[in-house]
Amino acid sequence: MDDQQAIAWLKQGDITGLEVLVRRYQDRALRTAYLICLDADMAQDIAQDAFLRAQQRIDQFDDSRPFAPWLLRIVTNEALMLLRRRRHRESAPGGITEATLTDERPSIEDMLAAAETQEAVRSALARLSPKQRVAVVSRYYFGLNEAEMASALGCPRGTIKRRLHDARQRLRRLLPGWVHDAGS
Amino acid sequence: MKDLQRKLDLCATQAVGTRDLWPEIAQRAQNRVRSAPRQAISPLGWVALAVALLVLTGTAAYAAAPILRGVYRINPTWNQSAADASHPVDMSQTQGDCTVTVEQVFIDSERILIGGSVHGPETMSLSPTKLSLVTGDGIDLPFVDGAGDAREDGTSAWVWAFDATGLDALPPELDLHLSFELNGIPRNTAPEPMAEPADRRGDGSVVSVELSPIEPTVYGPFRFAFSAPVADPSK
Repeated sequence: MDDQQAIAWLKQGDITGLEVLVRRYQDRALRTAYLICLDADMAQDIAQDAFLRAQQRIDQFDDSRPFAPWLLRIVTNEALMLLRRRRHRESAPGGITEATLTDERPSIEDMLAAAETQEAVRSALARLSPKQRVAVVSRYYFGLNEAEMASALGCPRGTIKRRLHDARQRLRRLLPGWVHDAGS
Repeated sequence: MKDLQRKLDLCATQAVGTRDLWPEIAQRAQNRVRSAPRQAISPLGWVALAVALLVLTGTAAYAAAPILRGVYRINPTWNQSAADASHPVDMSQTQGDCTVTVEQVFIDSERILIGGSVHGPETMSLSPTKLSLVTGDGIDLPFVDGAGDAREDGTSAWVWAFDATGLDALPPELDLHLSFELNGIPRNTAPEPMAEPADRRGDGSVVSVELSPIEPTVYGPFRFAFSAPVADPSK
């Protein structure tokens, strides 16, 4: 069954259509959510909420467009909303607070620069703001260009440019050697 | 870029592994179906909509414009917003013998006000339910307040207010999807007793009378998709 058939079933209220879409896109949704929130359990909640939101809003989905970008946009929105809600009452993932997100201690940069591990990637992402992470994930994980990002995230193109620029600057400092080839 | 994409993918895959989300989603989806009528609107929304219930009656939409202005006056900030920068929508939908018109919308960084009118069967009292406003990006906007008004000639109108403070970086123009249903209940109709309407036996003892529930007539869902400019705070 292809996406269009599954969506048609879902629009008719047949939950089998949702199952097809969940099994097909759950890995991407989960990984996307994780790259934004950097917490595996929270990512699971976000991905589940996103699929249920998609089910709720399926009548608004334009059948002439691909399903994945629409779903992943819901995932990023759900992730940002959850982070925003939690920011008020607890620290950011990994114990990194909003205040320290703007903190650039050289010792940490040096440590991450030396560590070519996945944990280094995670730590570097954790030093970005949630919106910068969404920009990085949209650009370098989904491969969207700036115009597509502006449309998907509902932001002016200038805002997208600034967030990407700031994120790249920080990642270059934190992870020298693997950001420069990403282009600007 | 491929290298960066691969590293991001590895980072995420290593952290979350492979999980089957379907069993829990299926359970939650089933629960949602069972409880959908109660989930659609927050408790605050129900209180506010109860006010609107009093005035959303079968009416003539063509005469709604003056009374809509009156509804805006209920709240001074609404009135100012509507006077300054409301954007005309003028979209109507008819389902059965009920026609709903979204007349205008006002958007700023704090709230979204939607004003409209309804024209339904004169014998029905109509109340909104499952009210939802979502941006083009899929962000749900919470309902915060609502009011309506009616005249003796049967004309009615409503204004609904939604919280927009959760939206970041508002674009110059915002896409919105409004949906709701209307429950119609016959006006001035008391529930008919199911059993023989004898509340007192021959021996004088009081017995309970079972009342048959009134099933509302559901109109909708009404769905409107429209765009409107965001008000410039500097003006």
